[in-house]
Amino acid sequence: MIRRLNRTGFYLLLPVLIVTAALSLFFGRYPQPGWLSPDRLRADPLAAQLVWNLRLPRVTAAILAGAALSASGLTLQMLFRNPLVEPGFLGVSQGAAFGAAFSILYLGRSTLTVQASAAVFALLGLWLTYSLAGRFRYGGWILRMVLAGIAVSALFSAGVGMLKYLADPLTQLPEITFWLLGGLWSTRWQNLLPILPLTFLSLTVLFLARWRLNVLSLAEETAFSLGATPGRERMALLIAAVGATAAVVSLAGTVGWVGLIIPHLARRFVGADARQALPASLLLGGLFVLLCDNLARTVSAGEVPLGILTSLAGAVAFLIILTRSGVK
Amino acid sequence: MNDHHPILSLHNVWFTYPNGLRDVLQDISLELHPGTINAVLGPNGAGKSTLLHLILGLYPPRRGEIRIGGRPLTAHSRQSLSRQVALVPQREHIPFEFRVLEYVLLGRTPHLDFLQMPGPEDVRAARQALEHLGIAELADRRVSALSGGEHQMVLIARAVAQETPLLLLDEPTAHLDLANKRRILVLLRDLARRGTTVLFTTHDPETALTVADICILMRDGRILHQGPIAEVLTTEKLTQTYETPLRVLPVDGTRVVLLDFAPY
Repeated sequence: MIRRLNRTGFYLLLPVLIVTAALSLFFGRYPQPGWLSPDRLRADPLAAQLVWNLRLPRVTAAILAGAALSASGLTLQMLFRNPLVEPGFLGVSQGAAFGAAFSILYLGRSTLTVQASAAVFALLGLWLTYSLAGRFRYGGWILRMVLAGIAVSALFSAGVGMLKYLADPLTQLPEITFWLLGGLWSTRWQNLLPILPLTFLSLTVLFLARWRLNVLSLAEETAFSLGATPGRERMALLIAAVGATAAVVSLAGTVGWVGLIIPHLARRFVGADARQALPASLLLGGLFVLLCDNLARTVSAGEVPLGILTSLAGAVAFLIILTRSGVK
Repeated sequence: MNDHHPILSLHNVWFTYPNGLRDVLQDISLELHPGTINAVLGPNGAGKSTLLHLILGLYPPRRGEIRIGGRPLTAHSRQSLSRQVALVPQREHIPFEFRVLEYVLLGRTPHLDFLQMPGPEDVRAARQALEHLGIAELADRRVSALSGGEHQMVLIARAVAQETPLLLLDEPTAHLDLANKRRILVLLRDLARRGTTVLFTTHDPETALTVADICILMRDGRILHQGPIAEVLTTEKLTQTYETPLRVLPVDGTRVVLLDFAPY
């Protein structure tokens, strides 16, 4: 019975998300910390500029980042049959971090260049992990991918360490550090629009294939006996999940814990079946990052890095879940 | 029983794992007929599970041919094969908290198009499978919270919901106590009576004796003997299969298998 209520409750998430997004546009530190009145918006051209060109893309990006990281997290957890997997672990996050740092040092510090470099290195991270896993002569495919992912992540973070060491401590280093902490402060329409096609395409694939995801979460031989072609289908979903992750990470940097904790919460509310758990993850993830980002940009005069807030909230939520009733 | 059209046939099948050195299956030939219960019996490592995997199409044979429903395995698409053969694996660890009904519903996948979601008829079929197994009351329970016997019943329900003419079970009674073992065996009988062809592996001769019509004795990748239970399960043939002294004794119109401690 409680579960039924939760399921209905979950469909309220969509209107809640829409209303929160709308309110977020009026919330911030201009003209003073707190609310911007609609009258002011009509009268003040600067306020209108701010709402449409800064807050709207930023709110959109926050929702997208949360939705993409959570849906990817759920997908990877189910594909790897392991509830402790998160989207970054296949070398994707560290790859993106390396790409961003590399760009800040050598390619150029404009937002678009950094973003493109991060996306390319994120996908390179996946490719490296995948091709290394294919060469291992050890264990099943899950173990091989995890080991290869750990190795590739370590390589890239060593690279990031090297770049930080080489960076100019006054200009480049703070920029790298801030990127690594994750945040959406630099979001404008011109760097949000380029990631939309990949993000939407990937999320659509994951959404449509959510029943297949249930099938692929079973043991290899069972999935096969149900008519799946596990190798090929898993690869397709993996690429979609990592594609979405790479796209939003290139914009937002490392936003930790979202992809791990939100799928757990979603499963807790609506059950493990991906037909409900995937849409629930999308909505809940969007809402979570939106709220964190609202805090990030209003709590102090400076920007609080978003990644710090999501990690803090995520880790606390995780501890609460673990101490109360175990992992789901 | 229709002896002219076997539902499954293997002709001189040989199999070696990729990078494997020895033949895991050697010259396997057998035929299964509709509505029969067939037990593959043999010691651990005889190649029983591998045989099931080949019938599923998980690996292609190195030599020989497998036919299902009269057509070569290779002529079936993935979907058409999954409508012919269902598998109850030896163990299915389910890492997420699926409900029993959701899990059984997965058995309907072969009857759906690629990205189609199961509809009301599929839910009905899944509930029917649960009812048929007498576990309708488990529908809303979490799979992870089931007892060993219930868990095994749910795995079978998922395969039954698949509505295939051929059902493969890998060691279906291996971890069960006597009451649950009996439940499963009664169920296999019942499925066979309704026309399903059952092929299960076991290392326990008693299980085969209790329900099987046909028994296939395997050792080291070869079939040593196959045929009706009465002909195959004898002291001599079982001793040869297990390479251990044992005796088959007639008791009350059936037979029991005893380990032979006489030499000690």
